[in-house]
Amino acid sequence: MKRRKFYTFISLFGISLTLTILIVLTAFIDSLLAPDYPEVHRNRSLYVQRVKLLDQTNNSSSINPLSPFFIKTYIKTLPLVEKVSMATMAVPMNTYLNGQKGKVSIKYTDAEFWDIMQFNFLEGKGLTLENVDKSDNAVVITGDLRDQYFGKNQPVVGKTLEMDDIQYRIVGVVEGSPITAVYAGGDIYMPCSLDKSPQKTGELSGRYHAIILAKSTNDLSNIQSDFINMLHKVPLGNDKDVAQRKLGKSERSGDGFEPDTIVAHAERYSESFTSNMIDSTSSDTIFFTILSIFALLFMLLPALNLINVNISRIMERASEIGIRKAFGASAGTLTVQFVIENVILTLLGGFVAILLSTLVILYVNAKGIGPIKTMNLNINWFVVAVAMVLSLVFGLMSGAYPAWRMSKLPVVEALKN
Amino acid sequence: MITLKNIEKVYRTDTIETLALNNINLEVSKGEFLSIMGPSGCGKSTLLNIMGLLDEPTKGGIQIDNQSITSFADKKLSAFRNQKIGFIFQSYHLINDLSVLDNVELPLLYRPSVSASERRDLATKALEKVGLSNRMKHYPTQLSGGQRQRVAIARAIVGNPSIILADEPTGNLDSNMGNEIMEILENLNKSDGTTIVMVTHDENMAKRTHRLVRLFDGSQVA
Repeated sequence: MKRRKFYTFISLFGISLTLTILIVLTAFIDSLLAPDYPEVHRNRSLYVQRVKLLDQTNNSSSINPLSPFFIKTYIKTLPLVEKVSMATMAVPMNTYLNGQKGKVSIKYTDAEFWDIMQFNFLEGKGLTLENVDKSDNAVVITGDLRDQYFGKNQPVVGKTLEMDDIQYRIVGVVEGSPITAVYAGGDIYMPCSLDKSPQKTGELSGRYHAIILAKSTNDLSNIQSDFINMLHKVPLGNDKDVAQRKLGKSERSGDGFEPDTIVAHAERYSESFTSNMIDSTSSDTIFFTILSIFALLFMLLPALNLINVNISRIMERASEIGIRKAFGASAGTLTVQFVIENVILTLLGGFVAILLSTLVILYVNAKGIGPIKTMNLNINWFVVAVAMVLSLVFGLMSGAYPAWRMSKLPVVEALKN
Repeated sequence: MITLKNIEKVYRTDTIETLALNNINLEVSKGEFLSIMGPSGCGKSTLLNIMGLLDEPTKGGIQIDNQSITSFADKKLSAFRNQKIGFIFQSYHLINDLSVLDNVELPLLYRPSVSASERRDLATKALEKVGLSNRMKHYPTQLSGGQRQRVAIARAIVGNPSIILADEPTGNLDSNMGNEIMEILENLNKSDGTTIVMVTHDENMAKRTHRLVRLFDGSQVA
């Protein structure tokens, strides 16, 4: 390896690059699922995103986020919970802000949302119970939005923000959350009592999700059981709520939808994240899908390239293989020799990749990149272990096939090279 | 020592079939120094490769030390070759990335019973035998043609094989160097009793061996 400096360098470069991408990606996924700003309580939270109502008689169903009624009546009353918050997903909309046309994401929240999320306040504070109860025209905005509409680092708490001709009082400014914090993200946060979306009393479907904060992680399973039991008690029969709900539904769809079964899940963060990816059609999903495809390509192309480089590297040694075989090396011995060489090279690449990844991650954390600028990536032991396992797998994968192929080369053919 | 029975070798491509060896029957006795001559393309090297178990005949059988080799699996064949046969090639076939000493040690790497220090000792002795003990740390590219061939001979004899197969060992050398190499081979044959089969184009070299076999168009003619 020392004497074939060029091939060794090319191989080492390819391996290091591939593994660096894999390590950064692993750190990204790790950070995606681990508690991160501002969703620092992910480990002891459960997420209820949707309620599915089934009308088995008419063979139809509807899947929608939850209504405030459902959250307040059935979820906030669950035992063992510390807090339950409700909020909409951030909805991007075109609007006039202080006379300028712009696209912002608006999120409606209750007061508990500000207890569960641990935002860094650049100024002021979150929405209070009073703001929500009194339907105050109060908003919390992000630092980026402030910089854009009021000037960089200008104090804005107490000032008004005009949005579609309505004046809102700014009560807080927070450091924006990364795009990966799907439950916290938004540009403007408003009291849910200002939400003007049509909602019938007693209707279960709406546009909110609930975050249930348990007192400890040990309570999560029990809360999930309580949640399932609670669903059995949600009336779907002929009570007043249901009658009103049916009315509301048929008013909108005119399809005579009469649900007889309700399905909903209080999921842990990773489960909710996966179901978000599968069910949602939002721009976030597109972002993550594109990211995943690129990540796969990034992983696949260097892997194929590595195999190619190794084949060339070993082919160049065809004559040596012939000589070794002539003097007693069996195909198995040669395969082992080349695989060991490759594993050593890949492990070296693994160490280089850990160094490179650390630099990349430090850079990403320090400078911030686009929509993940507030995301905090870490190389932890898990990530390092994954990197080393990947190194070994790559070493074996990219070395074994070319080595096996070349070891089968007839001696006479090999010696002619 | 070596018995070849009805050896036939056919090379096939999609469009053409070439008969390289046709019904070769040959017996080489223990301690014999045999030379094979013939025009280019008559099958001399093919015959030597088959004798050295580097290539398989299309038909026929090989026996070495009364053992039929035809049914040997790769691992057993490799071990057998390692113990019994040493090769010398016209173009030396040394590994340029390894030092002279490492090149000579090579056959012993595939003998698990030989320790690293034993390997070094045996390789040093083999190099002394061919008069190259002062070039051990050199690399093949730093040596002349005659020196390289002597390294190749040291590599062939380091494992003390009972058979040496030499494919035109003097073919790339001038007459003086060629004589030196021939003397080393003659000494090995006389003093160690090593059986040597040598392919050559040189009639004078062939005359110095015990017996001459001539091939023409893949058949034995003398």
